[in-house]
Amino acid sequence: MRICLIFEGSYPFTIGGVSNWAQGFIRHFPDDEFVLWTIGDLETRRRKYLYELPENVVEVNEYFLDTALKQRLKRTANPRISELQKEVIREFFRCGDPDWIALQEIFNQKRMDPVKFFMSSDFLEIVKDISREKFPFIGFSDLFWTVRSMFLPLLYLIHQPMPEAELYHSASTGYAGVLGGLASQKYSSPYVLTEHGIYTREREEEILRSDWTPIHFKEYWISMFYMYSRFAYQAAQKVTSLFGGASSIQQELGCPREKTEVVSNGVKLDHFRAVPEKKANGTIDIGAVVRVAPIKDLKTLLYTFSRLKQEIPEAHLHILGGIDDEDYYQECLALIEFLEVTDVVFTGYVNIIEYMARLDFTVLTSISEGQPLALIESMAAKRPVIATNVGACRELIEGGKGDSLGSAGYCVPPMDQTGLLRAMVELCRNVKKRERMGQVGQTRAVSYYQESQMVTNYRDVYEKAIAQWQALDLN
Amino acid sequence: MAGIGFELKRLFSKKGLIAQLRANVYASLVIAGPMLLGACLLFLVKYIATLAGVEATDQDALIVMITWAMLFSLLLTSTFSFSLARFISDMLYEHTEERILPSMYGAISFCLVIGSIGWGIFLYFSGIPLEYAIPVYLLFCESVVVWIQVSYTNAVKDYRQVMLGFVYAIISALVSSYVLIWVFQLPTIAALLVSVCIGYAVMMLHYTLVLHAYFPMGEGSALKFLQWFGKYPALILVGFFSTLGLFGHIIMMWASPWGRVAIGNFYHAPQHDIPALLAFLSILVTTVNFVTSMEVKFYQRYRVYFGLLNGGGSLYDIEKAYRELVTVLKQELFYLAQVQLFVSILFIVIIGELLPVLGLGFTESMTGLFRVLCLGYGLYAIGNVFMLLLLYFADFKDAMLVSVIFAAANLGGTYYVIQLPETYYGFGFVAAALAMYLVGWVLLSSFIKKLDYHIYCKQPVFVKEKTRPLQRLIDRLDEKLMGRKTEEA
Repeated sequence: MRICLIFEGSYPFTIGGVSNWAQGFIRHFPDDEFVLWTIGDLETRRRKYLYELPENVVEVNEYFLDTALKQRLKRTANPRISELQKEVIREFFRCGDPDWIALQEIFNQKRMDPVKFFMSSDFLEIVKDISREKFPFIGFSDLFWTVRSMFLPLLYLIHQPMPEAELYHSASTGYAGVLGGLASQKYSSPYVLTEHGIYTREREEEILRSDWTPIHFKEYWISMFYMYSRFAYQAAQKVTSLFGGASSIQQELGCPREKTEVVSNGVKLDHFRAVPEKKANGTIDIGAVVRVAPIKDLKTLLYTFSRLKQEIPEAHLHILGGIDDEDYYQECLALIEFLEVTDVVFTGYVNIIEYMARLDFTVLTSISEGQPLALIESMAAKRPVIATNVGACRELIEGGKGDSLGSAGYCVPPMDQTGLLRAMVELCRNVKKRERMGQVGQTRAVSYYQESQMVTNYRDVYEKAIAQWQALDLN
Repeated sequence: MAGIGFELKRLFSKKGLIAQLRANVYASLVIAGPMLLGACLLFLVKYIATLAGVEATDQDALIVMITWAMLFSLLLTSTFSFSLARFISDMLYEHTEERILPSMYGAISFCLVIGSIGWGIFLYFSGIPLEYAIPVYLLFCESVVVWIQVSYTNAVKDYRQVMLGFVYAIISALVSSYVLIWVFQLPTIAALLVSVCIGYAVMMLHYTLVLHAYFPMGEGSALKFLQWFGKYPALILVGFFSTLGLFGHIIMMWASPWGRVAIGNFYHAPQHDIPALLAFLSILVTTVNFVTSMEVKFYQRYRVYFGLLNGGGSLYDIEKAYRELVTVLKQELFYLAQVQLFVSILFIVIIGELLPVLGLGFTESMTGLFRVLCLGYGLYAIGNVFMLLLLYFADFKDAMLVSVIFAAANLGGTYYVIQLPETYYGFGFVAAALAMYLVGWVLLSSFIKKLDYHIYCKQPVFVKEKTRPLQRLIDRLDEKLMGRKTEEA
């Protein structure tokens, strides 16, 4: 099968969760051909892949949003647009529910050049309408530039050639989701959407925090991303997420329940399963498999560990992972000095499988996660885990629907030092509990989070999507 | 990917759309002043020459040499006057006044290099005696300096100082001619040429003092303004073609059957020149009205409108301000045209009747030509206002089109009528002025009709900074100079 994978701001240009997933994913379908359709931010990234593309990648289509701004204007005039088409564009700018197929027809490759359209009087008239409807008391020039900035990227992407495939699979909603939905309609192929995080929510948070968006347009920006996601959910035959919680959010955001499906990320577990039990050495070794970055909230871990040290002097903390944010690393070192806490080591990049043999259990204090690999690996190695209640952590530790294996550790609220301390003290003191929880963890990891399982699950999702598409087609 | 959506540059807030456009317009007024001064000086010189008993043919030679020096220096400098005015107002807007004086000296040097070489070559082959050639050469160079200085004083809108300069020039020319002719008993023609040179030198000195009092001592490259030529090439063409259109028929008529040699290679066509000069005076009313009425009332509306565009006005306010702007513009244009019509009729009927009686040697054909040219200048006055308004709205392309059409029609039309009987003389210019009027009207009204479209949508979605080799060279030079200044400090 010829599968088109659509990425936005990730594979193969940046290293991270989605990219790692993509690299593994493609390798696991060696019999299928993959077409990559990737959207990057900067043209300078073109052809600069951070991953070695697997052999079954047959085609790469790269589009960069900044290219939209650097285009030369074509000399040919844009075609006239009808009142009906104007209404489609108006609804699009309203962030309502535009007729996407019509929108694609207006801006497809051979017709309207969006950059040119943004300089036309039709565009001005539509922006005026939007101003009257939605922003009557807000500076018109600001609105004009905002509309240009907001909608140029997507229209530019729609204007580019679309790769042909038998199945489209995007790794997020957003621009990638809209493209997936449109290409699926255009080439009559099913479309599967996988979300590792919740794109709409991430954008929303980002816009609310940002200082480049004028405050009175933040809501407008956010509603644009909501519109994109709505379309992706509508257009997709199957919408997957990594855990049940994410799936419920998708449904809240407008995804029909029957389309949703939870497909966890699979991990290669054999090496971790073979990690021997820890030899008693008189210390209790706690691992944190994280890169040093603020989102991992190492400061809460360090505060808690300093309190733990007062109760359990033989505890040692190993922070296993590269330094992602040098400033944050320095802050952590300063904090260690301030707390006068000993036995904390930053190991940098290490072989986690080997290191795991020296650990008793692991902690993860992140304030945001999807489905953290570190947790599954630790569980597979029979090490109990303590993690904050973010992303899929609770499901990993306590089990999802129909899983009665028990707890593989403790799940505590993010930034809750006391809760974290209690859990750590418990695991330090209670060897029996450690062993029991470790066993639960390994069983769960092996039963639900194996790579082979993920492949089967996605196969299954693909088949369902294709079946649904055919049913739709017949109707 | 930081928000993947990005913010486009807000061009409006950055560039301050309006502030400078107004200054474009002042540049054009520069032409009216010098023309008036030129006319006064010519009559004065002619009068003194008559008093001193100079023969008519020698008088002609004298007048023609002075006219040529002034006309060609004006043609040269007004080519750059729009771009220079733009540069000055950009600098004023950015509060980098220290760049203004260097640019003036840069512009003067630039024009002098081009002009003095060309003019020198012409004089060398012109076959006039050295004692004439030297003052005529000097006069040309002085005029170049003065015209550029005038556009700088105009840019700060100190018309009083401009007028004072003219008065000083005339007085000093008068005094020195008396001293040279009647006290030192020098040959009259050379003496008069030198006197005019002295008059211009005094004016030059006056403007230098005035400008140095205005602007701080300079900093940076004197050639920085050259980048503005690259930035707004249309302004150069507008400057050149509108001046060429204004004088083209006069120059061409020297090659008509009416053309004669005044001295050496200096041609003239007095039967055409004098009616043209007098008819030109009929447009002064529109020039004055434009500055005093149109500009003032219209500018208020204009400022409100663009202020709302730049300053976050809501659509309702913007549209209201637009309607008011259009109303005032129409009213004022109508008023301007009405007054010009009245004055033109006055010139055609009454002055036309008076001319033969005044004893200026007006023949019947000259009077007829005068009336024809009055019609042409009347049309030109309003057509020129259309062009200026296009510049006001930064519609350089259309303004350029108007000026090119005007110049081309004048040259072509005049060439055509020269082939015809004398009674058709002058109609070439009338046709050109009519073309300017009509094209200007059509372009301006279609531009105004979709004003917001032109302002918003012509703003590129993305700004590209073009750098050409010359521009980069100037930038580097400029950086070096600025660097040195700071080191010294």
